Amino acid sequence: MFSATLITVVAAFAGVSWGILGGALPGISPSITMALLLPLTYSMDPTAAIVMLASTYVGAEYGGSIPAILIRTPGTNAAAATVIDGYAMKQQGRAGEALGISLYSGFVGGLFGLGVLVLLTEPLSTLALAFTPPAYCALGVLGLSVIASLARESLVKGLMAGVIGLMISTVGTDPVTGLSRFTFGSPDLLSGVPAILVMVGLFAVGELLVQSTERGWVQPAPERARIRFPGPALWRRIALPQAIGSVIGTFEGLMPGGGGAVSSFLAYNEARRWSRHKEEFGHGSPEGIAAPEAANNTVACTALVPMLSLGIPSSNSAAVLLGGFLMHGLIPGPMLFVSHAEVVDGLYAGLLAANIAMVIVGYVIMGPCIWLVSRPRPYLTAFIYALVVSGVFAIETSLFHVGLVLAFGVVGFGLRYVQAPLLPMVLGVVLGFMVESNYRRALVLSSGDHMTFLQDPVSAVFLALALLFVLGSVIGHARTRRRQA
Amino acid sequence: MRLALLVLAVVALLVSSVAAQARYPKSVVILTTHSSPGGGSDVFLREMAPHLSRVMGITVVVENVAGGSGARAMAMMAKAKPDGGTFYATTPTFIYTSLLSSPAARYTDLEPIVNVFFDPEVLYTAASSRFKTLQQVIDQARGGRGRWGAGNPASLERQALERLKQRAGVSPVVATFEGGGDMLINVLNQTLDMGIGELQEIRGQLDAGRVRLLAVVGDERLMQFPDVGTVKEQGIDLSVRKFRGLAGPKGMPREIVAAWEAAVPKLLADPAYRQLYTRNNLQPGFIPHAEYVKFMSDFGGQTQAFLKQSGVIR
Amino acid sequence: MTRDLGFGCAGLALAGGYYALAAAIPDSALADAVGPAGLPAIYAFVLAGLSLILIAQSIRGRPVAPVSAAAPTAPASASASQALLRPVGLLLMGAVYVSVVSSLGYVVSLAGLIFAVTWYQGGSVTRQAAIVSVAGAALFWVLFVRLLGIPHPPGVWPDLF
Repeated sequence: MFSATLITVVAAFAGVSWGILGGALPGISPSITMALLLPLTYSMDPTAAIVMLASTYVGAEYGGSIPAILIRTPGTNAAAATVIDGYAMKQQGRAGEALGISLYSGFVGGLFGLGVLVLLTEPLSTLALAFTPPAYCALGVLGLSVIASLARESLVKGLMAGVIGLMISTVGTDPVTGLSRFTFGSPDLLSGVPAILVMVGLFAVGELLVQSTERGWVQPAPERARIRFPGPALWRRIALPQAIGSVIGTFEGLMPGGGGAVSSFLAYNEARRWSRHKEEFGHGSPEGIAAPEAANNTVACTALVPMLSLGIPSSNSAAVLLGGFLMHGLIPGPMLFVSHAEVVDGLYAGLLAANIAMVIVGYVIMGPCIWLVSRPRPYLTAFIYALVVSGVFAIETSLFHVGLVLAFGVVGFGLRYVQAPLLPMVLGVVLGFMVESNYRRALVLSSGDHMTFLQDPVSAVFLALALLFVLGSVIGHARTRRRQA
Repeated sequence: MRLALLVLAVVALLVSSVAAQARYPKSVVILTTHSSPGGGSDVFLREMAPHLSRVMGITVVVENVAGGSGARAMAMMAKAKPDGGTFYATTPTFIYTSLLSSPAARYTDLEPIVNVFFDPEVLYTAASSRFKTLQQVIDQARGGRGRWGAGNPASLERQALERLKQRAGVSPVVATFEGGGDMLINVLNQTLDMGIGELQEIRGQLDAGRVRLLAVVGDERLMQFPDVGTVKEQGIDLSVRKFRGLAGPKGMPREIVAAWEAAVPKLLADPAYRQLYTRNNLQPGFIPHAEYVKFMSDFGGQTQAFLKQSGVIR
Repeated sequence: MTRDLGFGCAGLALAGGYYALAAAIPDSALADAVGPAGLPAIYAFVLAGLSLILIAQSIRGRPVAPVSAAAPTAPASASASQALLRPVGLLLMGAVYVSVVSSLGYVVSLAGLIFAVTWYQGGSVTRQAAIVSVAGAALFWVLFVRLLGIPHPPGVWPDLF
């Protein structure tokens, strides 16, 4: 018994460390990080193997926020929302504080997700079945409605960026006919433009290009190379955004589709809506880090609900974990809890260990990470550039993608030049495919009747919410303008 | 799955009990797959590798060359040396990719070696649904009220459903999804009357008694489910064969091909492996080289005809 | 407001080009009522409409975007043309990397990229910079190729020896 516990703890630590490494490298997604471990786990004890893979997922979801905060490069899709306020805090010399909030919020979200997984798997798996194509489409629309409030600076330019994002999402294989669209016959574009590539191009490469125009830049304020966990006052302030993130992450984990990225954006937006310090968002708000980070670490646990109980992976990462189960002759589904209860219990214990391991490993590596980004600017720029070209190549081992990320760097530079917000474009890319494929699928199933979106209860609720959000944003927009006029 | 990378994993094995046999010219053989680690083909190959290593007295390594839905793996394989050191694990995907996009190398640029397995495709519905037989589903579809689902838009499964529509003379809507799991949800919540997929994908639900098999889309019934009839038995001439075999670069020497023709039946008869693949619902489907070449070109021809007829390609 | 005008024109051009591509998507018997070109056409029209609004606003001189401290920093207009050339150089280095990495190999190309970018960003050409570049490239190789197994191109070197 003792040795089994020890193996679980060791597997959790190894998995989390590996996950943080992979998650922190842009282009190495959580699923790739996990997949790289699969061959190793083949010869391991099944429980240890599963724990290690699941811990990698937990570590990777946290790891993605490190470069997002420090070098404006989201390491994973789900860390894109963290870029906004995390990098703003870094520029104010508060990187240690930002990383502390991210780590702490990830831990809270992870524990919440684990609690949900252990206690509520059965009822939630029924809920997962309530999601039909109209409901998915409506969820995507709800996500897109966020654009209206993200684009405060200029609604027109924000919407333009969002539509361009939607256009990017249509590149690749058509979801209904299988035709190749906008691919120019290139197999490299057959599976679409990866969202992470767009994000790294817009944020990281765009930032490098903008920085290169600034002459006589000053060395950033010296960082205290220490991580700082939030004190009691801040603890109270970020409790609400963490709760918002955890709840949104729970539901998002259940559904196939956007994975952690959608939940991060929704959580960011809701945290701002309910915040008493709205004006700080975008300029280094702790809440703007707490909400998305709590959300994506919750997803890392709740994504296991449909995987374990239905045998249906809701994300690429969950699919790799499913592969890990199958390799050991374990077939996820309702019977798993009966036939291999010991593996399931071991996984739960391992996830608890993983969340604790995440805090310990995260704390230890934070100092060196902050030290690294405090190097002289020419070196820093060169190494970020090297990191981007190396990481993006890994997405599909394609040099074409490396060229593409440079092109998106130009787009990012251009958008900043004309003062258009970047996030709407990212949202368009992340949600475009989900909205289009489910919109068309829903119409196929209803034989072209649009009423299906109102007849489906889940869809109707989401669409009503989206409408409320957009109206609220537009009214707020008009009011601000009137005040300024 | 949209992830892509290359992993090299040396399968550790015990070569102590090598049976006396003709020596294969290579001590290490790499099997490439376009499936990413954890995907269907990848899991299948990794399970097969140690047994194949034992039977052939060599080390078999699985390498993932994901990306471009097989385009990258095909291009790499077409350029490889035909020395018996590398092979490509075939599935219908490589034919679809060849026909749908214009990859650097097509399936016709590769030499089919032998086939190993067939993956049974089944039609199924939710256990709680009112449909008990395939005929009831087809009756429902008469008059355009049916809703059927396939995992991916341009795939063998989609093709099978479209042909089922034609042959049964009904016009249900056919919805496609982002993979079998995505579709399974919609069968379980009865958005769909019926789905088509590999047995392996629905194993968890099948074990729990939440889905009901309606028919096998193959020539024979399955040994694990002898009660489930084939589509042909129900009077509709439809059968698809999702193959799993090997292909290599053109110009493969005769003796290497012969070595595989000898090894694969031995592998399929191996008791330890037999137990494993039976559990995974794979049907042994050895096809020797000469027939496999014809099989592949027929399969390619039929697929091309289907895609042209439906206007997906020109 | 010239920037808004430029963005508006670029948006209009993009919408036009994208629509042309969408219109060229062939018909398919497997298509649904919306079709593979259905939503793309809508996107193109929406983008064109938004672009026209932006153009109209900028011509009328109405402040579309109240300039706030939050707006991303754009290069100052003085000596703007020269400042705008600098990113082009940075991009070229990336492009050179992409074009030589297959033949020169990952480590050599990456060391070159790091060295060149360091110099370009105002670092001095010293022995230290050279050592950091080579060591950095080696570190990336260990991380990506050895540890993560990403097949970055080895270049022509293995064939030479």
